[in-house]
Order: sequence, then structure tokens, then C-alpha cells
Amino acid sequence: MRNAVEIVELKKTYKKFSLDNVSLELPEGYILGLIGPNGAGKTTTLKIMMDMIRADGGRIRIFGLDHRDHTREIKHRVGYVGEEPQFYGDKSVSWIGKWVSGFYRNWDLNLFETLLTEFGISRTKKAAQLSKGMKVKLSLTLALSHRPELLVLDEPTAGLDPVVRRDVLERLRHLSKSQGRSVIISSHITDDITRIADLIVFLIDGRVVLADSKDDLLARWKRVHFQEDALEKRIAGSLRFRKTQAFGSSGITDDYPSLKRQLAAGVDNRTIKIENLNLDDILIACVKGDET
Amino acid sequence: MWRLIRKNSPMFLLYQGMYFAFFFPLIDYDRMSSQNPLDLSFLFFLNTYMLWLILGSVWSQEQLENRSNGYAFLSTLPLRGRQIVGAKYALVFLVTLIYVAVSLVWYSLSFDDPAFLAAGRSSLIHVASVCLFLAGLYYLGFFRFGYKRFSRFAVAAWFCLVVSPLLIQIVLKERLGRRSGDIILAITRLNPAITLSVCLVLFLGTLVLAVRCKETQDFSA
Repeated sequence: MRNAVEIVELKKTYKKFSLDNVSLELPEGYILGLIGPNGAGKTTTLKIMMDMIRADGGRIRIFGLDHRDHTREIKHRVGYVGEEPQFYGDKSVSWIGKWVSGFYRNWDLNLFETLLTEFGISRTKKAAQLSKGMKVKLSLTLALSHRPELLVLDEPTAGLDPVVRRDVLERLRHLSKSQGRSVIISSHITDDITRIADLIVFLIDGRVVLADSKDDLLARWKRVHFQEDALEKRIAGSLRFRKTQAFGSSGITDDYPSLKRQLAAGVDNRTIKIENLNLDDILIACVKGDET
Repeated sequence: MWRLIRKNSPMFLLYQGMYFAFFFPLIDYDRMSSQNPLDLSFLFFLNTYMLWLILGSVWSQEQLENRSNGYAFLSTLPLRGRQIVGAKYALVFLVTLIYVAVSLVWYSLSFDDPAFLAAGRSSLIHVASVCLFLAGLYYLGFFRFGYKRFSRFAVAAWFCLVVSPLLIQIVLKERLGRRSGDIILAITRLNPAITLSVCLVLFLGTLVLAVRCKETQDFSA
């Protein structure tokens, strides 16, 4: 399987933040969710991919092409939605669409018009008059209208109402599953990522702390609640972020499949309870450690 | 590149349109009604308004670009830095060319004295050449230091370039009139082709440097 995106040991240093050897891969046709708290380096990573920020080191290949040497070719094949979409505020939506269309060789005017209608964006409104949610929708419309093979979306659902948010996510999933497009989407709203992503990368303080398929991640990370003496000391000792409360203890394992058989008896006699974690829990566990 | 030029052109056309629509007819009206012949220093002073026109347009355009976060938007499109910068320089060159062409036609229609006409043409080309170079410097400054840092300097320089000749013309006309006329006459006797060549080389030099600055520009997170 070919990779749509391949990032190897990406580095970028600012005064108060640095991206430290970030590596990730996105196979074609998959959706990768980039999760991390604010300031983790998600936007920086995506902007470096789009050649909007220069990296200090590392290598990025998109469709097998070096992102610096083939910027223009890559941008023809990539749709980008930034964290805060910006347009020429004094221009109308239809002017922006018509103007932007001239830069792309695959621009689909019908798709552009359809998306404007579906998203309820007024063609005559000036960009500056659009609400934040409408700007995100317009940005998505522009990003989708040249039928990109890869979508790079930086917090695209921020500012959208729940109905439109769900609609946008469904559309992205449809693009990936039925049309084989690849999507890389950053968010700190883990629900969105859970809904659509195949692959998850946790980025914290400029470092990749976890990278796996969503299903494997959710299958491996579990919270184990247990009564004292119900768990072998060796296993209890291997749990992370342990807490002891009046009704028992709990801890998180990131390798549940290998413990499953050993915990089975305790689960059966109800001295051990296994709780599924969601991506939010895993993110918080990674960020805050013992505080969870 | 044409699309970029088209996007950038309204501000330039607005300034130029205002200039052509009001200045030339007013000067013609004043000349015909008062029967005052134009002197060379006034014509030179008039040409310095090209600086007001072009540099003012450059600054206003960059102000618009900054307000709309335009460069960040452009960086998401399949464009090279050299296309974005090149479009700006090409438009300045075109607008200056239009200004010179219209002025030359106006001179030909308005001035009968061949010596005066030649001096007027020469002064026009000298000012246009310097104007191109200064516009190139302005863009280089904007791309190198960014709008926020460079605009203060740009406005101050623009104010000095445009207002100083006006103040000299109005306030000190009596004292410097003859001397400034001599200086202007000396300038018009310089070979305009040399000034144009030197300024074009400098203009292209600033273009190359501006492209380099643009291609290392970050739109940081």
C-alpha cells in the first residue's frame, strides 16, 4: 500500500516550543486523526506539510514527492482547511470561488456550486460578513472543489454547529471510504476523530507519544478496576496511573490483549472490572499521567 | 500570474484614475484660464506625484493584503513565491508604464515648445525610473520585515518624498525657485536612458531579493 503522506523526523524550533522528531505515515485512502492539546504542534506540523512554515529538519513526502521540491504539484492534489480560514474580506463568495478556480487544473464548478448550496453559503455575501462557521464551510468548499486526493484539515469542525459538524464528518468519511481519498485531520475534539479516523497519532509537546490504528488503540488501552488481592502484584505493578480509593483500585493498561487471559477469572467473579477508554481518556492519560 | 495582477490592480487603478481624472484637467484648465505657462520646476514637481501614486498604491495594497491575511491564503494555493512577488512587481511596472504613456500624450498635446517638451519627457523618465526603484525597495521592505514592521517606515518615507517637494515648492518658492529650477534643468539634461537602465537593474535586484524573502516566509502557528 502506498503512503499518501510520509513524515520523517520533522523538527522545528521556536523560542518556547519545538517539534521534536515527529514521524508519521498515512496510507492512501485512510483517515489519520492528529490529536493533541492546544500548543502540541498539530498546526505547525500541518503548516509545514503545506509549506507554509519551513522545517528545521526532517523530510516530508506527499504522494512520494518531496514537499519542498514539488510544492505546486502537491498543492494541486491537496485540499487544505486552516485553523482560522482567511479570505479576501472585501470580495464576495462567488468572486473568491471564481478567482481561486483559475489556480487549479481540476476545479469542478458544479461541485463548488453544489457545496455552496448544501452548506447554505450566500454567493453574494462578502467574505468578511460570514460567521466563523460559514468561513469554515467556505474553506471546506474551496478545499473540496478541486477534487483533491488528500485533505489536510486543521481543526475543521471548530465553530460548526453539531448538525453541520456531523454532516462534514460524514462527508469526509464518504470521501475516504468510497472515493479512496486520504484525509489528515487535526483536532482536540476527540469525538470527531473517533467518529471517522482509521489511524490516530497523539502529539504532545511537539512529540509523537502514540501512533496506531484507532481500533488497536481502543482495544489495547483499558482501565482495570480491581479489589486489592484480586490482581497479581506483577500485573498490578504493570498498570499505569494507579489510583486507590475506598472501593478498590484502578489503573490503566496499554496492553490489554496480553493481560486478558490472566484477568479472565477475576472478571468472571467480578473482583475485576474492565472499562473501555475513549480517545479523550487516553489523551488525558498521556498528558496528565498520574492525575487521571 | 495574470489572476494575481487582476486581484491587486483595483487599488492601483483607483489611485491612477483619480489622478488622471482630476489633476490633468485641472492643470489644463488653470493654464488656459490664467494664461500662465508651465515652468519646468512645476512640471518636475508634478511628476513627483507619480511617487505619491505608485508608492501610495503599493502601501495601500499591502495594507489590504495584511488586513485579509492574504499571503497566508495565497500560500495555500498552488502558487510559487516568485509568482506572488512577480505579480506585484509586474503590476508596478505596468502602472508606471501607463502613467508615463498617458503623461507623454498629455505633454504632446499641451506643450508647443519642443525644448520644453523634451525637458518634460526627460524629467518624466527620470522620475519614473526612480519611482520603479523605490517601489521595488518598498516591496522588498514589506517582504523582508513584514507589513507591521515596515509600514511605519514606508509611510514616513512616502510622506517625506511627497510632501517635501510640495513644501519646498510652496513655502520656499521665492528663495529656492531659481536654484531648484537650475537643479531640475540639470537633471533633465542627464541621459534618461542611463537613469532608466540603472533603476531597472536595481528594480530587478530588489525583485530577486524579495522573492528570496518570500520563499523563506513563515506563516507561523
